[in-house]
This record gives sequence, C-alpha cells and structure tokens, in this order.
Amino acid sequence: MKNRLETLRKERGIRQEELAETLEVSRQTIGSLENGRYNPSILLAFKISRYFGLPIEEIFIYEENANE
Amino acid sequence: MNKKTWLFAVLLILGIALIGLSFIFKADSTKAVQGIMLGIGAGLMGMSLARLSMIKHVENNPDLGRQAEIDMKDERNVMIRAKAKAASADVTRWFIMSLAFLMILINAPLWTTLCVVGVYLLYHVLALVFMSYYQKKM
Repeated sequence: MKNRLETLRKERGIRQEELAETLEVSRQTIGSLENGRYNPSILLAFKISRYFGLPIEEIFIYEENANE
Repeated sequence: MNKKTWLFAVLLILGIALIGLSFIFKADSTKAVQGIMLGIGAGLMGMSLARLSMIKHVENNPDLGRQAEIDMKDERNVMIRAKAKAASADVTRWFIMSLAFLMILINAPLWTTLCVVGVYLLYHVLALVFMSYYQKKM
C-alpha cells in the first residue's frame, strides 16, 4: 500500500523523530511506513489521519492489485 | 521502591540464598541437588542484578525509559518480535526432529529418543492449543 506520509510530513516541516514521538511509535516505524515496507494497523492509521487532519484515504492509497 | 524493584530485590536475595544453601549439599549423594541450586541461584542473581541496574539506569534517565517503553510497545516491533519467535520455533522444531534421528543412529537409550520425540510432539500440541486460543480471542 502506497502512502503520502513523507510528503505530508515534509510539507509541514516535521522531523521523523517528532512524528514518531507524537504518535508514540519508533522512528524506524515512521521510516518503514514512508518507504512502504510496513502497513500500519488501523489504529495507527487513524492516529496518523487525526494528526494530519486528513481522511485515511487521502494519506494511504489502497491499490486493488498491489498483492498480485 | 516500586513493585518491580521489590520483585528483583527479593529474587536477588533468593538467588544469593540458594547459592549459599547449595554448599550444605556437598555430599556425593546430593551433588545433583547442589548443582541445581547453584545453577538456579546464579541465574536468579545474574538476571536480578541486570534488571535492577536497568531500573536504576532508567530512573536516572527518564527520557531513555520513555523511549524504551515506546520501542517495546511499538506495533512494528511487536510484530517483528512475534515473527522472529515463530521463525525460531520453526527452525528449532527441525533441529529437535534431527536430534531424534541422531539418537536412533547412535543407539541411544530408548527413553532419551522418546523424550526428544515427546518434545517434538509437545511443540505441535502447544501450537494447536495456541491456535485454538487465539481463534477464540481474535
């Protein structure tokens, strides 16, 4: 699943460490999310969505054929 | 002192006491008891000392403690730990089975082979038990 996390974070001038601290996850998790190596749980996705004040589908892009 | 400090302080005292008491069982007939007491005592002492020094370190550096807690609860880290445990259990299963065949090849006493096969079966029984548990829970 692709996401716009890195773009949104950079637009707001936030460092990975700051975002990680606010969301109470490790910095590595933020890095993995941004690289698309890790898909967040629904709880973390909601936390991220609330943090940026955007709907989940505007941050995470679900692709039907991503796993094929 | 918080609950954890108390627990590890008690375990440390217990470990030291076990090491001390083990010297009572010096006789040849109780050597095994002495060995077990020494082993458990040393293990408890080492673990308690390590945990107590960790607690002290975190008390002196609250930021480090908070970061350690975040790292421990981090969902990706939790998933990584669970996957690593599952993978190591899978690898260990094959080692146990190989050990059982090795026991047969070296003509080891039947009870040792049966013990190893028992451990192998225990792995599968536990896997079924946990699967059933998590299917009900999740």
